[in-house]
Amino acid sequence: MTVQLLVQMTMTGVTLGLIYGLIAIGLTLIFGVMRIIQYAHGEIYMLGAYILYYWFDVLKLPYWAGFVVSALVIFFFGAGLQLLLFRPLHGKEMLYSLAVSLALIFIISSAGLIFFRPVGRGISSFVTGQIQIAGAEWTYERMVIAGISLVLILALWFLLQRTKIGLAMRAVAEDPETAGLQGINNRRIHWIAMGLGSALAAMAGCLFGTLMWILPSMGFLATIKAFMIVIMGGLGSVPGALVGGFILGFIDSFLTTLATSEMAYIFGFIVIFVILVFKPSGLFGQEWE
Amino acid sequence: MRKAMMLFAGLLVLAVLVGFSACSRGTPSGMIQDKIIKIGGCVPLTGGSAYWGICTDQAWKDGAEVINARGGVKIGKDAYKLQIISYDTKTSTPDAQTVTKRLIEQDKVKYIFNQAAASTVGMLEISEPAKVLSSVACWGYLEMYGKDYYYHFRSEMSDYEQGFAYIPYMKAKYPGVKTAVFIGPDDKDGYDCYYSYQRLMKYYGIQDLGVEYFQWDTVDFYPLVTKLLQKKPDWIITSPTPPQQTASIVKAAREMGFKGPVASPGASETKTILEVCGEQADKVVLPVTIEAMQTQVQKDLAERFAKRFGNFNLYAGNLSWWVYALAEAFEKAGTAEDTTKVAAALGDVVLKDTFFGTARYGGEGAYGIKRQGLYDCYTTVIENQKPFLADVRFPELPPGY
Repeated sequence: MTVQLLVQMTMTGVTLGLIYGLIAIGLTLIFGVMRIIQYAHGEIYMLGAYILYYWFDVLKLPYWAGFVVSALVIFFFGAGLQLLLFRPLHGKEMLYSLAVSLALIFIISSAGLIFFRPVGRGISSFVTGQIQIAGAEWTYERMVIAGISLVLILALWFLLQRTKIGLAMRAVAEDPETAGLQGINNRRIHWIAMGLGSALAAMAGCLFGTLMWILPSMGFLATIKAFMIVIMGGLGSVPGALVGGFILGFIDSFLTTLATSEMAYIFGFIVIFVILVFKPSGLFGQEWE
Repeated sequence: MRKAMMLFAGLLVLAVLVGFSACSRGTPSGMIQDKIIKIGGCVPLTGGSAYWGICTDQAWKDGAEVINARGGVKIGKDAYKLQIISYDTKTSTPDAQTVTKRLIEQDKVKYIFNQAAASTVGMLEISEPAKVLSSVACWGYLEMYGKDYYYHFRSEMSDYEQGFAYIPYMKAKYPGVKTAVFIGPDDKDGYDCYYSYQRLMKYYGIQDLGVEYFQWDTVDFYPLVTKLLQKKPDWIITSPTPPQQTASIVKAAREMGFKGPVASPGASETKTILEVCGEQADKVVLPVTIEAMQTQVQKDLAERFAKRFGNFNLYAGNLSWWVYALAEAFEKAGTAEDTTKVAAALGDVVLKDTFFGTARYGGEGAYGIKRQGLYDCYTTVIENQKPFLADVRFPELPPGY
């Protein structure tokens, strides 16, 4: 193995890890606060990507404004879903909210097939050019995307750790009853968390769509990756989502390059099994009742 | 008064009944029951092959409407209209079997069109024993093709046949290309396409540096392309790869410094590649692809599709001749009931002015029977971020094909 190959694999692993982490972080936030497993997380991610595609590539409006617009639109979309669909099921059996989120998968992806058609599209790059590090190539686009993913993850951490709203979210996540007794409006926190988690998915979709391609069926794969990471890192844990993202990103990068893509696929699941054997709640997860 | 009303109502009902009865005898031509030939579509309209499946379905429906509008298919003294009945196979072999059974047993079709290997394999297990003629796009599963599958037509050129058209162009355009690597999906389609390219590379004296397979859920091609470029190829071939995966492979290769051509026989369109790759899309070679319509037939088809379906996917043009070939086979055979006669006639059909020029079936030497579609190969290349038609030629097939 050459230094160039090692550096290339590492840089690919870092970029992938951060994007995976960003996809997973929204899912873990939603579960952490609302105790809902949002299976349609990938479909939300897909919608975010398409909003940016139509804004930037079709309407020819500025890229970063579109990124923000996509996040805002999906924030309110997610909040709306919580208010209309999930709130009435709060306190009931988890099975009901599972059924709703499963139904959302089919509704959103089928609507996507009708409106966007099953034809691959690409969000054009916002920057071109690259640098070489020890013979390995790293594009400015990947650097910016990795950087933004990191900033967003850190911003979420800051929000949760250093702001009142974040404190309220953590309180609701830990003990909703006591949080309510302390004067925290649980219902308000729920729709904010859902909106925020959805917005993070949308932003991940925008970044991924710029790096790769977009398709109405792209959400399914994103959901699988997000669940793998969240299970690895621990349901409801933001640091867990980041660490899980890196683990999966490095597995994908190194094993695909050095062995085969099937090996990377299998090994990813083996790692999850091993983690769950020794720590059933995931690396940073809490024991939920 | 009451009696009068009842009498009037009774007369009214009688008049309506007589009127319907007269209509059903069918004296005006518009009320005559048309003779119909049902053709079944066993196509993936959702799933991984949906892009290709939808194009296939549209091509048949458009062709059937054109044929019907000009009076239908003439068999003897009768004119037959074509009726297309399509169901979604969801790119799944078991679903393709279900669809095929439904088409044959419920809808009573004797002719089926199909797209992609997963659907074709499921269909063939049922259609061939039932002597149902099938016209498909399927690039692999050569063990389910040939003289033991009398009713099975592979109307789309596989990448093997395409290779005999566009590789001579590639060798002339890029004389420095001496080595190649292949990247394809990790399934039977990918393995069979690599087998095609192994034979093509041997025939044209290009050194085969090896193959990598990708999973359909690959989100980033950097790891795989990193591995490929370690072999230092002059040329990358990817097949059968839809436009979006092609674009990701091209982008990754270019970003990692690869400057040679990338050929993708299955992509069939340039828009996605240009959107994803931008300035890195140069030297992408797409056989059997055209962007700007050249001939009147091509322009008319593109216009009809835009009106009928809202847009025109280039891939649909590739397949548009199949229905016309079948219609001609009905007329030559003088029957739509006897599929054995129709199959024999279809093997000898030669169409001159199709979307891709001359189209016919061949492969007697290679497959033991004339069931392989062959037509002019339009090769499009992207240069300076624009697609242009680089070459048009009929496949330069090897002796004994």
